[in-house]
Amino acid sequence: MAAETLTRARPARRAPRRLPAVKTALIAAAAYIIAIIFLLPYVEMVITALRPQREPAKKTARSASPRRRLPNSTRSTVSAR
Amino acid sequence: MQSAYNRNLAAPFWVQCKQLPAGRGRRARRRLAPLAWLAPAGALIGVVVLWPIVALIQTSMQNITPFGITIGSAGTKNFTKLFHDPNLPGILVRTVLWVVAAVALTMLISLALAQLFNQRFPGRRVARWALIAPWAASVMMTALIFRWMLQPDNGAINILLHQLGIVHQFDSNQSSWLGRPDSALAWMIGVAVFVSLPFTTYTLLAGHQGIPGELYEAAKIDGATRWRSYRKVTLPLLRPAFLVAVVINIMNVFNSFPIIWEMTRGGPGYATNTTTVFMYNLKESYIGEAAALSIVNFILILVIVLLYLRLNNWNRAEDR
Repeated sequence: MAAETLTRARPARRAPRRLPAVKTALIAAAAYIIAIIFLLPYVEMVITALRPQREPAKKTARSASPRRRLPNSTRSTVSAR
Repeated sequence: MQSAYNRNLAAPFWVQCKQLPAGRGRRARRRLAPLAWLAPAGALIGVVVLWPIVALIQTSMQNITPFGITIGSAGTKNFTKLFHDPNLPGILVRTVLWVVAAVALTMLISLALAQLFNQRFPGRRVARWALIAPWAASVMMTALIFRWMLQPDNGAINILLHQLGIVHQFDSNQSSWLGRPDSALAWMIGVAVFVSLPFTTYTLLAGHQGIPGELYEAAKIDGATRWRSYRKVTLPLLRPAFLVAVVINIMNVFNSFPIIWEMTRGGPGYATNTTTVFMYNLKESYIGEAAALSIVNFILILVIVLLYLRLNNWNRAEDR
């Protein structure tokens, strides 16, 4: 009887393991940032390839600020040496 | 019938087999049959692996001019000259530092990355693809990109560091990262880690896929914390994948030439030379010495790998 009951018993449904939403978002954000870091050098290569030929070789004056990469930088470029 | 003893020994083995008496002949044929299947692989190994080694040993014992003309035997003179080179001790120390630092950092970061990319999150596949980029790209190209980015006057990394206030002046000693031996070596180790990460991470990721989820459930029921189940379940089961990744990574980093050559050419002076780059530099004028160093390199890498495998009891699982 017991054996019959066991065979008839429905297999217990495994609840899908889900991480809490915030944690998933954090993991995804970390993974995307790392993915971007891995791609950045190659993006830089493509950007350099698309620039006019003179520009990449153009020297930045010793005391002048070069072309900007980060926005709103007000940092002084005067030499600290 | 021809006796087994008076058969033509100069004939190929299959002809000899035909000449043998019926019973013995069949047995001998059966025994020699695998040779026919092994022969192509054996010939390939002979031509691709053994012959270059023999040629290398031969070259290391010859007196060869910088123009490539052999002017007789040098015996062990090339080895003696090599071991008396004042630059060699520094280069050997730097090579060990280069290999240990690059491999250790790669494996540590890979463990974390494999753990992260093994989690379920939306867009996981795309993120994993991005990780392959340095693996898919040529190492020479990646090293060249980093050299561009480290240009002292307008390199992207220098510009970023300048914006962050770390680099104060362009075209200065401070911004010339590849001009100073210590910082150049550090950046090159960074690039070596960057190009090695995809392979090691994917190897560990494959190891992660092979760990049954039930083990974690059992550990959880037993009251294990996440850190404890990582130490007691994940790490031991990742061991085979970890060992493979480390061994292949050691060989790759030890033999790595394009990163160093593209970023510093081994300079300033010999300050960023490893044995592989030094071997290439020697080749310009001292071919015999370069061949001698390549043999030393070969022995060194064999010893390092065997030592590592021995320390990690490579055959532990098989012994049980």
